[in-house]
Amino acid sequence: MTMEESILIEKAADGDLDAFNQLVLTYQELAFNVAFRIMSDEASAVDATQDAVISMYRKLDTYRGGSFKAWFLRIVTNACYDELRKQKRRPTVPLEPETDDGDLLESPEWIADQSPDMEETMMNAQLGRAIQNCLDKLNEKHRTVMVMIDISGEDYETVAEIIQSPVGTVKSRLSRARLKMQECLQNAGELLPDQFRLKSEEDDD
Amino acid sequence: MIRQENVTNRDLELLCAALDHALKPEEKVEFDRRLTESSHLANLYRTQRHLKTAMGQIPRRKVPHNFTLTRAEARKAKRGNILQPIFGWASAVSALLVAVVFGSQLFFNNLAFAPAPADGPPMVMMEEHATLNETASIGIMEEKPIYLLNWNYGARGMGGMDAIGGKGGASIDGSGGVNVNIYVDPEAIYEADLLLESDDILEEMLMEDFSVEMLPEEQLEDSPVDQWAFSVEEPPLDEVEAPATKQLHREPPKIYGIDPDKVGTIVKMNPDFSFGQLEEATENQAQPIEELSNKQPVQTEVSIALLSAALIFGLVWYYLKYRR
Repeated sequence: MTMEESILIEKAADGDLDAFNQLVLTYQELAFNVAFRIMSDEASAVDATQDAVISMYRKLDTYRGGSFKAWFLRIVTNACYDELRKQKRRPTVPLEPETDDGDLLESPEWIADQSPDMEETMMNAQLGRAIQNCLDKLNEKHRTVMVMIDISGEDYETVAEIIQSPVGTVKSRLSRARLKMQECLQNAGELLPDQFRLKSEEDDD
Repeated sequence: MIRQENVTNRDLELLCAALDHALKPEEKVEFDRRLTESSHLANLYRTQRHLKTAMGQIPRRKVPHNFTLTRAEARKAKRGNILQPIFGWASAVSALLVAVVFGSQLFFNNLAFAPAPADGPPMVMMEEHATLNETASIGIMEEKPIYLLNWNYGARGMGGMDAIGGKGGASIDGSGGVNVNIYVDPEAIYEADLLLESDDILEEMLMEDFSVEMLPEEQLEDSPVDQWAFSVEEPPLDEVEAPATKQLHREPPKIYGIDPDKVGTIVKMNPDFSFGQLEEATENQAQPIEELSNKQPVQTEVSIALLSAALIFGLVWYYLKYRR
C-alpha cells in the first residue's frame, strides 16, 4: 500500500467523498472483473460491484489497516455471494436468443468482421466463454479462489486474507478447482481455439 | 480420470505451488524428481500449465460505468447504515422478548399443573390455597364430628384397636360382643403429638364412657338381635377429666345396629349425592387453581404485540439490507 493510498483511506474515513471516489476509481476495474467471473453475468456483476462500493463507504471506519485491496475484494466477494443467493431465490431468464440446445446464439458483432484483430478478439471471446462455462460449474468457494489467483493474479496470502481462511485451505481449494476445470475444459475441447485446447496424455502420444 | 493412482496429494500440492511459482528450493528438487518418476504427474503438470496460461489470457472487461458515489448517494448510504442496524436490533430484541415471554408462560403453566411437589413460588401459592381449604374444613369438622363407621355386633374373642387421625376404639368382652366406633377427630389429626402423650388417658376415657352390658351366652343365642341390650353410660362432659394440656371435646358415639326388619331389603339404590353435584364440587375446588394458572405474568396481547413488532422490524431490516 502506497503512502498516497494511505492518505486517501484516512481522508475517506474522515468523510472526504472525493478521496473515497479516488479509491473507487483505483480498484473498480479489478472489483468488477472479479464480480463478473464469479457472477457470470454483467448486470449482476454491476449490481454486486455497486453494492460493494456502497458497503465499503459505510464500513470504511471499520478498516483496521492491512491490505486495502484484500479488504475491498472481501467486500466484493461477499456482495457477489449475496447477489447469488438472491438469484437463487428469484431465478431469471436471459433475454439473449438461444439455440435449441440452450446455448446462446452468436452475437452479430462477432461475425460482422473477420479481420485478424477481430479474429483474435473472437477467439479470446470463445476462450473466455468456455472458461466461464466451466467456472460456473465449480462451487462458489472453488470459483472464487480460482478467479482470484488464476485470473486476477493475486497471491495465496492475499486470497487467504480475502476469504479469511488459512493459506493451506486456499491451496487445497485451488488444487481441486484446477483439476475440475481441466476435466471440464477437456470435455469441451472442441469448443476451444486450437492454441488453447488442453492436450491430454493420449493426445501427446 | 485425472487423478492417477501414482499421483499423491503431496504431488498435487507441489504441482499447485509449481504452477504459481511458489516452490521452495527443496520442494523444487522434490517436484522435479517426482516429474521424472511419474509420467501421469508430468502430463498433469503440462496440462494445468496450459490451463493457467489460458486463464491468464482471458481479456479483462472494461467497467460499464464508474462506480463512484455522488453526494446524494453518499448521504443515502449513510442514512441506510444507521437505520438498518436499528431495525435489526429492534427485531432481535423483540424476538428475544417474545421467546422469554412464551418460555416463561410455558414454564409456569407446567409448574402449576405438575403432579409432583416442587420448590418455587407457584407451589407456595398452591400450598397457601390448600391450607385455606383445610382450615375451612377443620372448622366444619369441629362443629360436627364425622362418623365413618359405628357398628356393633356380638362376637367372641379378644382384640383391640386404636389409631390416631381416624380414631378407632374397640372394647371387647371375653364372653362376646364388640362395639366398634371409628370416627374422625379433627383435633386428633392436628394434635397427634398431644394425643400420643395422653393416649393412656384417652383409653381410660373410652372405657369409662362406653360399657357394654352383655347378656348371658344362652340368652344371647335365643334372643333376637334387637333385644341385645346395650347401654351407654354417658357422664356429663364437664365431669370428664380433661388432659393436662388440652381440653378434648368428645361426643358419645352413635351406635347403629342392624335393623332386623330391613334385613334383605334394598334400602337405597343411589347415593345421597348426584354425580353432577360431585363434579360441581370438584370444579369449585379446581377453580382457584385455574384462576392461579390464568394469572400469567404477561398477558397474551403483549406477547402478540411483541411478536408483531419483531416481524415488522425484521421485514424493514430485510428490506433495508437487500433493497436496490
